[in-house]
Amino acid sequence: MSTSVKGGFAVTDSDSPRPLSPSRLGTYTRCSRQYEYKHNLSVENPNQTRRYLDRGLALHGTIEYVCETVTGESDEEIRTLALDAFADEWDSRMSRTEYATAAHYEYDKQLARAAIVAYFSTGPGLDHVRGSVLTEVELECERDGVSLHGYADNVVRTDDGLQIIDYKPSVRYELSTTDRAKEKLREHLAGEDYHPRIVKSAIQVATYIEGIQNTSVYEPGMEVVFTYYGLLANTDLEKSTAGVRPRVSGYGRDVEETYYSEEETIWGLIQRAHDGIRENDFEPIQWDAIRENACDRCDYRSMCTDALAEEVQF
Amino acid sequence: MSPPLSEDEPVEEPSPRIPQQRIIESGEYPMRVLAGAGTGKTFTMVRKVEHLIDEHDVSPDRILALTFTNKAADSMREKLNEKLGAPGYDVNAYTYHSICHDILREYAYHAEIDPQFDVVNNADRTALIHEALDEITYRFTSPEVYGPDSHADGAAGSLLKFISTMKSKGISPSTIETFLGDADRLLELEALVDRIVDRANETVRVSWRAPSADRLEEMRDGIADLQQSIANERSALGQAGVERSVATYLRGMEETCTSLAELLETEEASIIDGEHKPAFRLPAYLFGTYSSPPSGIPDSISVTLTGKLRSFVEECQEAADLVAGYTAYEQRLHEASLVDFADLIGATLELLEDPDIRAEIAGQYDYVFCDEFQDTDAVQFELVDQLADDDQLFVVGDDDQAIYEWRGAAVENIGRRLEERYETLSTSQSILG
Repeated sequence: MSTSVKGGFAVTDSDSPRPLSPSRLGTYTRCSRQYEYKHNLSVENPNQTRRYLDRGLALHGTIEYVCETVTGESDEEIRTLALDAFADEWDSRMSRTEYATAAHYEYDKQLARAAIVAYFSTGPGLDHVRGSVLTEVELECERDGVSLHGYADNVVRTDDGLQIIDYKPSVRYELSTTDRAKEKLREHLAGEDYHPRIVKSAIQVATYIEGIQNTSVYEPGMEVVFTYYGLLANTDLEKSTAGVRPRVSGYGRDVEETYYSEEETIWGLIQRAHDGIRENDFEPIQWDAIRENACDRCDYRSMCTDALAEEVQF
Repeated sequence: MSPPLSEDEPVEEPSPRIPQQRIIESGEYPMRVLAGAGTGKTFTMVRKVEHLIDEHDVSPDRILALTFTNKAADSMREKLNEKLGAPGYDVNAYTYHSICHDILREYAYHAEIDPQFDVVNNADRTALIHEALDEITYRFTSPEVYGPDSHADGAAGSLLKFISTMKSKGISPSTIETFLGDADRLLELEALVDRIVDRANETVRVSWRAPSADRLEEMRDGIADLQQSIANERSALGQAGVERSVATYLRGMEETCTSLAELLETEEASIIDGEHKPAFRLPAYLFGTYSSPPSGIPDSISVTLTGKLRSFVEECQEAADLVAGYTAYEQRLHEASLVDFADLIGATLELLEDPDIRAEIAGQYDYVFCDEFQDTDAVQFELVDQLADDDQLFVVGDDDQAIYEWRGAAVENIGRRLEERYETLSTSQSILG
């Protein structure tokens, strides 16, 4: 497959198979049977709530709008712009019906608004929007016949190169630079243990770091930093007889060092999931670990023959 | 090795052991049997019922047997039927809830409830809880319906548990509101805890330096100052409800100060020599100035005095929010002619407050038998007490096995509480022999 760069976006030939996303590879890594139901057979799950998905989109949409709008505004003007954008984003994306109570809906709105306030006051939001060169950009890469793609939330020009930022509610389950995190990647590849969340995170980092190098904003020799930024990393509430108010602070974690030191392992994990998907191999491996760790929260459990078979064994 | 039984061969029930037989034949009431799991408590109870019918000509419908689950009630009926034939089915074997259901159906007019009432199901209850959550003014707790890791951790789970606990203890929303008082005061009580910790930091916090006679004397002075500060806080508190409870607790803190000062004096030598050196930091730890226990403090002292008081105040704050949800939930149940499991017993108890009705209902039974009595809660105890009119009560249970404690079961129901209520209670603790 050939890749070209056009106006900051990477594009591919239309007759090539669609590149896979880190999300899909992550699903396959968690449970190949779940991948089959969700993506191969396209079984829809009517009960899935959009509550937190839409909240994330409202937060992303706000930051994206501010990044694309800001030119030479003052700090205060950017903050006002962000809060106005948040109000619009929230109203257009969120629905009270996704929440069990009106109180929860209102509180969640306050919580998300507090995240925006924190990001643009005590957090690095002002620097991020002023340095932003790309938002919601599709990044593509290819290595050894494996084609990947994904959408980066924000790409910021720094003194030494580029910083890719992926916004999350929390960074708790994402890749880190600790020795233990690296060990988990190796354990999963060797089949010694089961760490699908951190593997998915590592696949995303790989896709974006490689993909950014195929865009027009990248120049050879640039340092590429990958940051997970948890907009709701720390949440608390302030008690008051007038009603509780959420307190929020964000937290950013740079993780590119783990990619560079574990590149071979991470691409081994990518290759395995990629080949499984391409070859339609959906027989679960590490089934005991999947059953113990993933089945309880799987939307397809009630129709999954593997899970049901466990319940009727003699 | 015994030959395997074929499907056609009846399974022969074992004969009672001597201690079991003694209980079965005993005419002593009220009687309590305490024994562990698998010792044949229920077996003994069934045999005793059978004995009353067979040997004492007690009419089966004069016997009331209460169990905890429908399955246990059915099982008891089946066992009696096997032994006694059709009369076995005439024994009134109920769960604590099902007897109340039947009583309320029959006496709905007197209980002032809709005779067509329904028992709320799980789906209805979830919907009612969600509606009730929107009646809360959230001043101390988060309105997030579900927790980040578990549904039970969110506001819905908290309200459900709160209502269940309060109802199992027979505590109404108005009683809670009266106890808690104003929300402003609950915030101030939290500030009071902070002030005590701050004061402890000023008066009894110690540096890294080793204890000496001078430092111990200084510490005793600090404890006296802290004690005086706590006394001042106490004297500013009200004389009722939550403030009274906090005042009682503060008095306990003051007494602890006295004990600590005495300890530092009597054990001075060993504290300075090193054997009891960690005791030098004990006052500061107990009054919340360390985030974790300093080295040498025994694991058994896992909670601090200020930490415990803070937890109490926070629970009161949570209750102050949830009580509005409790009120709304009760209102909606009433409007929809629904009752929940707790209401079945609560409304029956209210009905039994009428002496004529109580005499009529309790008069239907000469004997009351209760299985798994350790799992009853306060209102179930009260129900049994009301129904066992002539004290011809027989209860079995295991005081080491309260599986429903999390939802209000009070293990003292089979212990101290039963002894206090029935002075002539006889007890059997060994039924295996």
